[in-house]
Amino acid sequence: MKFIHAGDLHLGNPFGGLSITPSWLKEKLQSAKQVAVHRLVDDAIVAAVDFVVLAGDSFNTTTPDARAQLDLVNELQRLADAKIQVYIIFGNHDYVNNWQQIPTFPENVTLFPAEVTTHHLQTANHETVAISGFSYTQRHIMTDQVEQFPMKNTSVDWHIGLYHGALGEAGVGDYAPFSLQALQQKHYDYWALGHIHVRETLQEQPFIGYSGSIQGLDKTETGPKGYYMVESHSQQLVPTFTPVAPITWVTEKVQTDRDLNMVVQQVREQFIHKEEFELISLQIETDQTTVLSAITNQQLLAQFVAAAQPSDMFFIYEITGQPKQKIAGLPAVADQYWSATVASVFNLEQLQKLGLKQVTDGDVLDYFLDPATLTELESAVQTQLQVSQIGDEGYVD
Amino acid sequence: MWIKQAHIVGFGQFSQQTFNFVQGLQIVQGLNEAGKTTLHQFLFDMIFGFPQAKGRKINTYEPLDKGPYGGRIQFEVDNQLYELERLGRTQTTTTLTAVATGQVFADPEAMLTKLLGPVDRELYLAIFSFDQEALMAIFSLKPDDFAAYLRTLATPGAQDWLDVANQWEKNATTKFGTTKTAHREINQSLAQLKQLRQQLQVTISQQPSLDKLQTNAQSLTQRLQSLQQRQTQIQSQMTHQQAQMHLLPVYQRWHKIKQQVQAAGKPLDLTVADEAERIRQQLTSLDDMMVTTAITKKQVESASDAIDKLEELDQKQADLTKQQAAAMQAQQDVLTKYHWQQLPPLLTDEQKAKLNGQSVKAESADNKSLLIAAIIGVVLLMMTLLINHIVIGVFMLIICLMIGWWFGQNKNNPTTHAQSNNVLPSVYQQMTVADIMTAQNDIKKVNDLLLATNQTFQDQQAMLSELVDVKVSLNWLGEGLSAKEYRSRLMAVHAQQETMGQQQLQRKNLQQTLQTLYQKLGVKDESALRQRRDAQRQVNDLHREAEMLEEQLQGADMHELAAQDAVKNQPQSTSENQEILQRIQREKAQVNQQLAEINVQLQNLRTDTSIENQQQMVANQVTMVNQQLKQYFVDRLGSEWIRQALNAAIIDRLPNLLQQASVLFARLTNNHYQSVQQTKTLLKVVRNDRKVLGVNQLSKGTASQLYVALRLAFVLNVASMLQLPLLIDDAFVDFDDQRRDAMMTVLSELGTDDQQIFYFTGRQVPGDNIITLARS
Repeated sequence: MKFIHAGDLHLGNPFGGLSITPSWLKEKLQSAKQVAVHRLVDDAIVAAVDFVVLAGDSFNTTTPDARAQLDLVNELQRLADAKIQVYIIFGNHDYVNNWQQIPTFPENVTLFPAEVTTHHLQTANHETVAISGFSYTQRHIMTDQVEQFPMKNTSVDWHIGLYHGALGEAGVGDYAPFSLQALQQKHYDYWALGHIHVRETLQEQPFIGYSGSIQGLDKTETGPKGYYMVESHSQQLVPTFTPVAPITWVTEKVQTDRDLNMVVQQVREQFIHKEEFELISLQIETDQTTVLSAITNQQLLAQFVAAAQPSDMFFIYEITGQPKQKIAGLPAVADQYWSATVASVFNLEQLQKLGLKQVTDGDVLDYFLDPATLTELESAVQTQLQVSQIGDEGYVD
Repeated sequence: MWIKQAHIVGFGQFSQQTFNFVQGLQIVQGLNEAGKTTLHQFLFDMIFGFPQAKGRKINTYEPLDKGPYGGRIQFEVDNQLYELERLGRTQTTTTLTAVATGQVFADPEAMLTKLLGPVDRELYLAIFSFDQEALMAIFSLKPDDFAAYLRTLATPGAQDWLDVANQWEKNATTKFGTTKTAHREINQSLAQLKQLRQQLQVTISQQPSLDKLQTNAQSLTQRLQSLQQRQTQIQSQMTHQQAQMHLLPVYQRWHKIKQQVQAAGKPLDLTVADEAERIRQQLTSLDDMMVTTAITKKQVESASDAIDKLEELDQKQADLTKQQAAAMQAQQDVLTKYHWQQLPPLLTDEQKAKLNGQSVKAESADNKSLLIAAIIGVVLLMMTLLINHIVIGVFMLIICLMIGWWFGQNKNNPTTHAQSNNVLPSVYQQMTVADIMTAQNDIKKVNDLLLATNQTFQDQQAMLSELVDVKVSLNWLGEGLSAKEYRSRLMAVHAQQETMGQQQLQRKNLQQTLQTLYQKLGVKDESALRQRRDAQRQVNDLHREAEMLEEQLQGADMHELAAQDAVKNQPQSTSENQEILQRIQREKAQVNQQLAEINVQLQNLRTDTSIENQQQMVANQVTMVNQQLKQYFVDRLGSEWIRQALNAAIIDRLPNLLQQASVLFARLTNNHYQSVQQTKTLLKVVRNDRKVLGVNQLSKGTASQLYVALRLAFVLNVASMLQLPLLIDDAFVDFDDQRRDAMMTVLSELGTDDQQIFYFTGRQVPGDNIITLARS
């Protein structure tokens, strides 16, 4: 028995964290998730898997772009043509508002309703499989849904749980919070989890874990992305990660002493031999104040974008600069004064006061209300202070 | 830093002049225009570079002899001796050399900056280099700025950092206005983001929903299928109809034939008909064989009677003839006997008497003519009988007889007359009377015979009509035949009659059979049967035709044809179908077009990346806004952080600084003031009467002293970090002597091995290290 566990396709989701995207890159970005899903389907057909489970958030929103839907429908049709069953639950992103508005999926597709439901199938090798799962019909589910799941059906060879949610305490988490213990107590052979975009194993055997997103959607989702090819070995279901994402988010560190004119060329040469397309967050360490200031004012990024070629297997979407020389501490006054004032500077009220209250855009607010952003801001300010300390008067002015 | 030596190549009034300076307090004395300020400026410019801009307010100290501009200094930092040369005001050639090693620094400015630490020209001016004018700045400072200025003094580089902070803040605020109407970069970006989101929403709302497209496509496909089905149906129906149309006449003909055949009723039973025919033929041949005599049995019987009568009459006739013949014979005999030519009449009794028998002759003559007439009459009668005109014959016979009789009478009359006249006929004349008498007997006998014959003749005459009647009645057997012949004929007739009877019986039987058959066949008679047969033949022909037609009609729907036959407006229904077909075709075209549109939409959906594009644009814009806002916040927060950190440092350092400043201020004011204090925004001083005064409440001199005290306190405060030469140019003019002395004392104390102090003064001051400049 063989099946594919994937989730969080997030079709229709744009790539976050990019500000400038040349048209050739846009095409790559737009097709990325599609390509990933296409590869998954190719693999499923080649490997002749018994079925495919999608653990929620196949779409980015509850009202996805029709093209995204059409893409998935077409891909699922390919599986249908190959007589591969597909089991889909809906997650917090693509929760079902109206079952009537769900596109017509091919016949091989089984959609799970809001209530925990169990479907059965027989594999090519005549093994019997039970698959239990549920779909979101609202954005948030505050309750633990595990208790709704039946105990392992001992009359079947394999019992698989499909669950979209996060570890957590009922009533506290927003996404069907569950405990590992509760999952364990169901004695399933495999829990195919969705929601967390980073591949994560909660338990090795029987497997309980997230396959992660099929394609990294922003810079927090670095590294290869794909699905789990799950195969039975003796009495166990063993997942093997298979990367299919055509675009990988990475962070690259570069040290350079070149001046501004040469940096672009030098860095590009380093990345020329990439095999799979990478979106690069470039960290440059340099003492070239011109370079550092060009980083701060986005000039260098613009240069990289201008130099980017459609044939490139990488795209530098952001650059952070670090002075090479380690300046111990911050300038002017002793560190104690800087650290003593951090808390009173880097806080939400301060941001609100300085203008965040003007901002109404949800995504932007989300970003700045994230505590991590404050940390990011602090480190950026430190860098900027240090860069100033190096004494680029031209910059300061 | 210790500036050990200065060599002026050309700067203001100096040209090729060298000065050596000591560590500690270096006093440079000279009258006005001796070059104190020029030297001061030279030293300053050597460290920080020559002024680049020229202007009315800026003295650039061009050499008066128009010679080369610049010079060099030697200074020591951390026991390292450096020589710095700057030549040329505008395009200055700067050379920095480490004297010990002879190393020439590639980037002399950078090296200088490094050697000077965080102190730049402004900071240097703010603390280390001042004149009376600079000290007056303490008054011109706004109270709000004063704290900041103080901070600058209190923290080395603080002003720079404040500048940085200000710059950042300025930078930031030019990019993001916190008012709702602001149109700065980030405001615009946010507005654009909003706009992009709205556009995206519009695009999304305009995008057809997949489920609807799918549903539509499905229903349209179904509709198309049903239309196609209907079309095929109608087309085949039409094809069928056309075939039917072709077949219709065939059908109609067939139907008519069928009707005819049906009308013809039960088919003729041919065996029966043949039987009937055979019997009819038998009957016909029977009829041919049969003597078709109309003679009845009665006729035959009456004929038989008639023949009997005829025989009887013939017998009688024969008897009569015999009698006649006997009479004739007797006459002949008499005549022969008497040689008479003619039988004389019987003598009358008188003549007998006269003679005794002499006269019979006349009478015989009479009889003779009658006889001839009878014979002639009979002959005529026979002739008429021969020609089958028995009545005419009989009539002529009667006429002959009448004539004969009349003729005979006529003869008798004259004879009688003659006899009366000739009393004895001549025949008797030669005869004896006896003879005459005997002859008389004979004659009488003959006469009697003749008379008898005559009598029978009359009878015969009487019989003759009867005979004619008989013969007439037998005429159908033949005319003028003998009775025997008649009888034999009658026998034949009888035989015929017998045969006929048999035949008639047979015929009757046959006819009965025939009638039965006819009845069976439902016909009246033969001609009817013949008609029937003809009709049957026609029916058979029709049958055959119908069979042929049926072959043609094979597979055709007879009911439908019948219906069509019944419906007269066939072409109309065809045209109706045509119309329907056209309608279907139109609708099909429409549906196809709609389907095509949906397919185009789906196809477009597959390739239309506008929403993703816009989504990506929104995401990009979000990132852009985030980046811009982030930079904005970095600037603002950085600025804030700098201020807060500097404040924190000042708050920490200020007591120390203020304490030192207080000590210095007390000394400089000869303890007229006790201490320097700072509120949030203002410097305050405490007089020895404990009165707290603001700066603006101080005298010019005291304010200057406060400023100097603060500067020196600062120098002391940072002495552990950096030692830069103090350049003080006639700053104490407003000081009274007492305080100037105190000042000098303080400077002397301050000037140590670590701290070089240049004091340029126009006055004569006591001291060890004095360079006196002479007015040139």
